Amino acid sequence: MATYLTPNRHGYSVRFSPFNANQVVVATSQYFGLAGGGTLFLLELVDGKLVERNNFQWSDGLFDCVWSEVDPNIVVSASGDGGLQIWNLTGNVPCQTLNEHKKEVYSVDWTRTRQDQLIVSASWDRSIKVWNPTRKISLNTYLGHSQLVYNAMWSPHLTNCFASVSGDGNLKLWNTLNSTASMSFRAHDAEVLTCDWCKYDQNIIATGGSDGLIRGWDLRSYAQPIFQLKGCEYAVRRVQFSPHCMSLLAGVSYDYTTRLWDFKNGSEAMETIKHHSEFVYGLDWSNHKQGELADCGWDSLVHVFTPNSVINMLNL
Amino acid sequence: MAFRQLTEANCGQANPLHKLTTHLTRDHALAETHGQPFPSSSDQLVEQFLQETRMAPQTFRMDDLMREMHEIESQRASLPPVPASTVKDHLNDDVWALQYIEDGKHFHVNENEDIWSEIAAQEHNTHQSLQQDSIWAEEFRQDTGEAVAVQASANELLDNLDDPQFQYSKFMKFMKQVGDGEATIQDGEVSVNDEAVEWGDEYVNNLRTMNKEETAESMADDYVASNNGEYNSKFWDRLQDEWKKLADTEETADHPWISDFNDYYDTYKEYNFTEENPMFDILDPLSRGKDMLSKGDLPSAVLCFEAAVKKEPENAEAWQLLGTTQAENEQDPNAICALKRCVELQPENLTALMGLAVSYTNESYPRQACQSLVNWMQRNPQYASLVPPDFDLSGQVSSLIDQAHHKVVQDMFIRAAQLKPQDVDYEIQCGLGVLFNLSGEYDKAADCFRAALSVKSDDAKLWNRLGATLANGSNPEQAVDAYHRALNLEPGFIRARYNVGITCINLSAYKEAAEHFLLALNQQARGKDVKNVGGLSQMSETIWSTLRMCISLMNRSDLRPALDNRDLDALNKALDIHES
Repeated sequence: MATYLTPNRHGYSVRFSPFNANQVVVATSQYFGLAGGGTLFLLELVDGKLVERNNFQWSDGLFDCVWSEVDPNIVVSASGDGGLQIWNLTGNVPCQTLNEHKKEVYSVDWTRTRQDQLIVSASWDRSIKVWNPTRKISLNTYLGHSQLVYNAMWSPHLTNCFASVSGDGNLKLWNTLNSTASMSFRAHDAEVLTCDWCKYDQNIIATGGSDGLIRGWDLRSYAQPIFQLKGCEYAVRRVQFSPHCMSLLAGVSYDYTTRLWDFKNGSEAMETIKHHSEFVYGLDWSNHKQGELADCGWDSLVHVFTPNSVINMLNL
Repeated sequence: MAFRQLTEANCGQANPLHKLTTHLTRDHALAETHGQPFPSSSDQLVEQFLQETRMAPQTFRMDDLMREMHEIESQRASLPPVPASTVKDHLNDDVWALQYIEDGKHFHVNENEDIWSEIAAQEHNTHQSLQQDSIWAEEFRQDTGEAVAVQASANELLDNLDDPQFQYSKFMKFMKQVGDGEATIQDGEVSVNDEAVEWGDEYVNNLRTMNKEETAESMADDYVASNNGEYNSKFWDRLQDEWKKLADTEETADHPWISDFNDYYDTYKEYNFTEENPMFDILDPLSRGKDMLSKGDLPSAVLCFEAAVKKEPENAEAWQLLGTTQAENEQDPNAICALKRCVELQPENLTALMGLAVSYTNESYPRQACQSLVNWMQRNPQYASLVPPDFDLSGQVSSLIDQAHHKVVQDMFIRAAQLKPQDVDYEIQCGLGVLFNLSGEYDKAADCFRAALSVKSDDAKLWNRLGATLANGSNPEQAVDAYHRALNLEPGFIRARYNVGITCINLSAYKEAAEHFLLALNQQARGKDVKNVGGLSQMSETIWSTLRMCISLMNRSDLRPALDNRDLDALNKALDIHES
């Protein structure tokens, strides 16, 4: 396992580069994101160790980050002052800032369908905005959630389609062409903090709530979840489907754990990893190295590792 | 800055610290009581509405539903915010806050050295201008209100959390300092926002270098144009269609989606033949294949059996041998296809049914695995009476199996084993082993395989299954022994070779692991009658990628070029393997 300590900076999000298997960026905040500034770290795996290649300072806490899908040196971060920063990793100040949200921006995602290069941002001002990263003004604003929007994620299969989850307990599905949500349903009887699309089936999506549950939904029939994963003792902060195995999911929680589930194999976690001593906030599967996972948390630690249960997916 | 909004009265759920508290406490309690409706009264209307529409979807009217929901939401938005906690009472209580300022003794009294030295250092760095200092006075009142509310929030969070788990949390310690007034979070702490604006302006210019050619208009056009993609509209249409159907059908169980889902999970319909197969030309591929199998040359045997089933598509034995050999060859998806075809031709083929159960287990299809075991029992004259007459698992959605059904199947096999306790039927034990593996009871599963081995100790497949079970049950050392028994009996057993390699990785014995993977690759490459055939390279893909991981764990980056080129000779040399 490779580990990096970001002293006095508390990890909110970590993402592998889509271009370089060994690079990750980590969005961090001072004072647990409640006050102070933020730092974006560029880390690289060298001979099994994480080394810092660069860091970028912002005047407010950074809550999420995402790599560009077209340029290996561009990263977008989302911050507590309601802005998005587009960083060129070869410089040290953002080459663009997008300031429209009125409150904390809690999630940012870059399209993966190749046709368009768009960004979606979700904010505590209850709005979602879609941006062309080369324009300073957003393309559209989507209203409908009645509470803070915690996460919005592009569909990996369909251009112009993204899902959002909110403190109002609902999951909404949007077509960027329409100003109202295409569908909306109650995903948890609690706040929904995270969602992620299945990489192998365009109709399956997973949500994680402050009730500690992860639920899987088939968008064609959302009367009840197709699976429900248990184990987290506190809120699920982030959930992500594996890019390599259809039914494999990882989730991080306020209970200090990172867990793995195979939803075809029942609702219990197949592995529980406890290598953080504070809330675990960030999570990402590597697209390049099968089974490799990165996570980060409020204990200032960033880990890159391959869980045993994934190595161990043995055949009889 | 997360706390700035505390002073803004328009937001119904302002305080992020309060949010955190709800994540940690209230909703957790909700989960424990199995999800009572949200306590927030404002949400109940929507919830009620949603529940009604969910329960009685007689007609489809998505648009109406959405419009109504929108109306409800917009109505609610115009309502005054509902105070949800004591924090907000404090927040809006100006009199109290003012009084607090009057008292004024609280501010800048601070004992926490760590925090303040850090803050001081920061302030030093941020070049605070005199101008900002003058604004400070104006902000003072606001800040005070904020600091008070933050403190209250911190205390609320602490009051609500007495989980010993959080005892050593630095965050909780920080909250305690805030709660006790030792630390104060204030907006003025990092006032470099001016600088941020400057950065933004300065880099508007860079925007043009990022995108020289496209004008905003053309980008907007592209954006609209791209929305008309056929694929997209199809998706939305189909989704709309599905909802319509869903709404039309009273019983969701009859919904065609369920059969779709079953089809979808039944991915193993067509056997995937090797494209160029030199064995097509030989006279009797079936007996040639058996010959290869007895010599332990699995890749060649597979090609022979493929040729055999092409020649005689109705030959159940050829399909069965193809399936079982593919399973030994680490190719479960193809094994499942072949064995399914065999069972279609010959429903009473017990070997094929048992093989199907194992391969489905490997591919994580527990329901299909259980169904195969049930079929096996139904077709076995000794035990057929143990199966309830109309027992069928195929009606269930998804590949998952619920515990009750799993238990029914398990009980059948336990009763079968009890029929003749002194005379062990290794197939029954093997079936039980598979069932215990499915339920994750690896100790019991290992006992079953051991029992089977007590009457059939020369079965390499059983030894391999015991090994895999032990490895899954975190007994890697014993697993290695079992794998070695399998390999002694059948040195060409590629799956066992691969499994022992994986276990070695888990034991951090990377060199040994790499040797096993290389041996397996050498064996496959040696496939006597073929070279570089499509199916072969596809088959070894897993082993190559695992070898790559293993080599990187050994920190032998010097071997990467050899891996990229799939240069077996170079790798054999580097790892000192002498091909016999």
